[in-house]
Amino acid sequence: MGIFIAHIRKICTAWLDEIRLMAKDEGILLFCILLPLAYPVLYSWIYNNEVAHDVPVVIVDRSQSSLSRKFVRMVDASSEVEVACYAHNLDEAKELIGRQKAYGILYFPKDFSIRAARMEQATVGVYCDMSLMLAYKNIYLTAINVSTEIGNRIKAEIIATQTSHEESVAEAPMLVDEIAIFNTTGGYGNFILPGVLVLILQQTLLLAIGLTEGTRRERLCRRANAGEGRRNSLPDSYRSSCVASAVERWSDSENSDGGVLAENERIVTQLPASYGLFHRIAGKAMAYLMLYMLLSAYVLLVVKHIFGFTSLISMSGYMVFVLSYITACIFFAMAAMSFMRRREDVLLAVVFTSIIMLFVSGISWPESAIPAVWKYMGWLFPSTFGVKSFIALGSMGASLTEIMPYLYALWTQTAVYLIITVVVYTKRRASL
Amino acid sequence: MQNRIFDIMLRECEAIRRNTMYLFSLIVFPVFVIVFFTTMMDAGQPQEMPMAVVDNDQTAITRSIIRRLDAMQTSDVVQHYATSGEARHAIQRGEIYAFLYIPEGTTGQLMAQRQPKISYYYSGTSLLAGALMFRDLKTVTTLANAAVGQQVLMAKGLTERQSMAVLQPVALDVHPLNNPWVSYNQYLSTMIIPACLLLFLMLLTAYTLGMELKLGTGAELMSRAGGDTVIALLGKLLPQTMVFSVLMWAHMFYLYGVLGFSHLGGVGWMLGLGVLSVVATQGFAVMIFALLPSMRLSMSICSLWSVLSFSMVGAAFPAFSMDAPLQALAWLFPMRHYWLIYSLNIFNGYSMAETWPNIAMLLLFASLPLFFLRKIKRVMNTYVYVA
Repeated sequence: MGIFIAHIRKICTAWLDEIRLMAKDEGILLFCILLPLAYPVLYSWIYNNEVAHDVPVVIVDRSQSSLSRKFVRMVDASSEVEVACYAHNLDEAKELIGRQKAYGILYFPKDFSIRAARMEQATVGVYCDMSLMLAYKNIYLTAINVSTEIGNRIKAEIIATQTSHEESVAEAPMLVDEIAIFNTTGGYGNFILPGVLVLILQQTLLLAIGLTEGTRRERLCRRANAGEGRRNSLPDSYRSSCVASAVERWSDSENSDGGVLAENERIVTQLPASYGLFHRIAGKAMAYLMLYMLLSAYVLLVVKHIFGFTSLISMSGYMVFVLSYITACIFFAMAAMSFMRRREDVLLAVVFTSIIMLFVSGISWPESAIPAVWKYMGWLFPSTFGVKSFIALGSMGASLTEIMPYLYALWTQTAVYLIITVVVYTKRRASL
Repeated sequence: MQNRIFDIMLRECEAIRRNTMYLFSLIVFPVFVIVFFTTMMDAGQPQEMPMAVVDNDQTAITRSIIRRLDAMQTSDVVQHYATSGEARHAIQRGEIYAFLYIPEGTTGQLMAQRQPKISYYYSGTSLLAGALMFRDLKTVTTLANAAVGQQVLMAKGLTERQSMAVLQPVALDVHPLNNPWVSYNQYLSTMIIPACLLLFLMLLTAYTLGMELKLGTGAELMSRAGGDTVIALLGKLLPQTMVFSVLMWAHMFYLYGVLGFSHLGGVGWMLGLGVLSVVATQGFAVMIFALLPSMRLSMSICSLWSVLSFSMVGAAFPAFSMDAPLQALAWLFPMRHYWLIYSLNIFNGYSMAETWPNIAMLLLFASLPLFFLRKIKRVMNTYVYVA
C-alpha cells in the first residue's frame, strides 16, 4: 500500500513539473491556451452565415417577352440568387463576371417565348463562373427549380386536364421527397466546423508536447555544450566567431543529444533520479489530459453553443469520446514528437500536416473516394477517427454503439503509441 | 555588391544542406502536397459512393429503379435494409451517405395513377456526397417519370417532339465555363496546392530569419553584408525565392500542362503570378518578423495567418457571404489575391484591367520589407535569443 501511494506521489510530482514547464513557456501558452480559445471563434465567425445567399447573376434577355421577364422575376425572388444587372449580349455579360459583379449569366434567346408558344421546347442558357463551386451550385439549382416551375405552368395550359389531380399526375407520375437528414440546412459551418474543431485539439496538443520536449532537449544540449565549452556560450563570442562555425550551427546537432541528453534529463525536469519512466510518462499524460479535458469542453461544446451550431451529443457520449480521443492524441503526440530535434521543427511539421490530416479524415472529400494509400495513412492519426466520431455524435445524434469501431481504433492507437513512446524513452535512457 | 549577395546565398544554401528539417520543408513537403492533392481527387468527382435501399414494395418496377440508380456513376447501392431506422444507423456509422425509401404499394399506386411518393434521404454532414448523389436520383426519377408521361401523351395523339415539349417546356442549356466536367480536382487543387506552398514559404521565411537570432549568427550575417540590410535580406531570401518560384511553376506545369486544366490566360500569366506571389509572401513574412522579432512569435503568427488563409481565400465558402469586416480583412491575405488573379486571369482569361488592384496589393506586400530595414538591422545586430 505504501509503495502504491509513493508511486502516486511521484506521478503527481511529475505532473506538476510538466505543468510548471508549460506555464513558463509563452510558446506553449500561445498554442495551448490562446489558439484553442481564439481559433474556434474565428472560424465560427467566418462560417456563421452558413449558406451563400443572393449570388449575383447577370441577365441577357434577347427575348424581351413576358415569359422571360417572369423567369427573371422568379430567379430574383429565390433566396439563393439575385439579379444584379442586365447586359445586351454575352460578351458584355462576361465582362461583368470579370469585374466580379456577377458569377453567372442567364441567357434568353430571341425565340424563347415564341418557341414556348409554338409547343416547342424553349431553352435558357446558363453560364457559370466555375471558380466558385458554391455559386455554381446556387445558380444551377435555382435555374432548374424555376424552369421546372414555369414549365409546369405551361404544361398545365397545354394539357388542359379536367382535374387538378390529373394535372399533377401528368406532371409527375411519381413524386420524390428529398429529405436531408442531419445538417438539414446544408450549411457550410455545420459541415466543416466539427471536423476543424476536433483537429484543432489534436494539432495544438502535438505543438504543446513537441514544444516542451523541444525546449527540454535544447536546454540540455545548451548546458551540455556550455559545460564542455564546445559551442554556444555567450552571444558576444558569436560576433567574432569565424565563418565556418556560423554555418555549422545550422547543422542537426547529432553529437549533442543522445547520451548527454539522457544524462542531464534530471537537471531540467528537476525530478530526482528515482523517478522512473512510468512516473514521467504518466505524469506528463495526466497534465495534458487535465488541460485538454477543459479545453475540449470549451472547443467542442461551448463554441458550438455560442454560435448556435447543431450539437446532439449526450453527456455520456461526450465523456467517452473525449477521453478516448484526447488519450490517443496525447500518446500519438508523445510518440511522434520524440523524433523532433528542435522547437521550430515541431511547428513546421505540425502546420504542414494539418491540411493533409483534415483531408484524410474524409470530411470534405468523401471517404469512399479517397485512394487506399491515403486512407491507410489516415489511420495513423487519431484525428481521422476523432473527426468521424464527433460528427456522428454531435451532428448526427449517434449513440456510442454506432461509433464503437472508431473508439476501438482510438484505443488501439493509444496502445501502439504508448508502446512506441516507452521504447523511445527507454532507448534514450539506455544510451547512457 | 553582387559578390556579397552571392556570398550570403552560398551561406544560406550551406545552412539548408546541413539542416534536415529545412531541406525537408523546402523540397520534400511541397512535392508531397502536390502529389497528395492531385491523386486524392484524381477522379474529378467522387464516384461510386455507397448508398442503401429500403424497398418495402419489392416489385419489378422498384427493382428497376434501384438497378438504374446503381448503374449511375456516383451512386453504388451496397446494402438493403428492412426499415429506415436501420438505414439511418448505417449513415451514423459512416457506412453509407444516403438511402432510398420505397414504401409498400408504390407500384400499385403508380399503375392506378395515384401519384405515389418515394423518399430520398441523404446526409447533409457530407455536403459533396449528399449533393452529388441527390443529382443521380433526380436524373433517374425524371427519366422514369418522362417515360411514363410520354406514353400517356402519345396515347392522346401528340407527336414525340410535342410530347417532349409538353413534358419539359423550358429546358436548360448549362455551360460550366472552362470546367465542363465540374471537376473538383481542377477546382480545389488549383487553390489548395498554391495555398500550401505559400504557407510553407511564409513559415520558412520566418524560420530562416529567426534561426539567425536563435543561433546568434545575425551579427555575422550583417558583417558579411557590409552592414547593408538589403543585401543581407536578398542573399538570405533569394535561395527560397528561387526554389519556391520553381515549385510554383512546376505545380502549374503539372496541373495545366500534364493534367490539362483550363488556363486561358496563358503561360505569361503563370510565370508572372508564380514569382509575384512568392515575393509577396516573403515580403509579408519579413514584415511580421520585423514587427515581432522573436523566432517563436513570428513563426507562430505566420503559421496562424497562413492557416487562416485557406478559409479567407473564399474559394470554398465565398467571401461575399462572409460578414463585412471579414471581407475587408481578406485583403490582407496574399493568398486571396493570388486566387483572384488565378481565377480571373489564368482560369477565365480576363485581362489585367480586372485584377490590377490585386496585383498592386501583391507588389505592396513584396515591398513591405523596405519599411522595416532599420528595425531588421538592429534586430540582427543586437537581439539575443532567450530559450
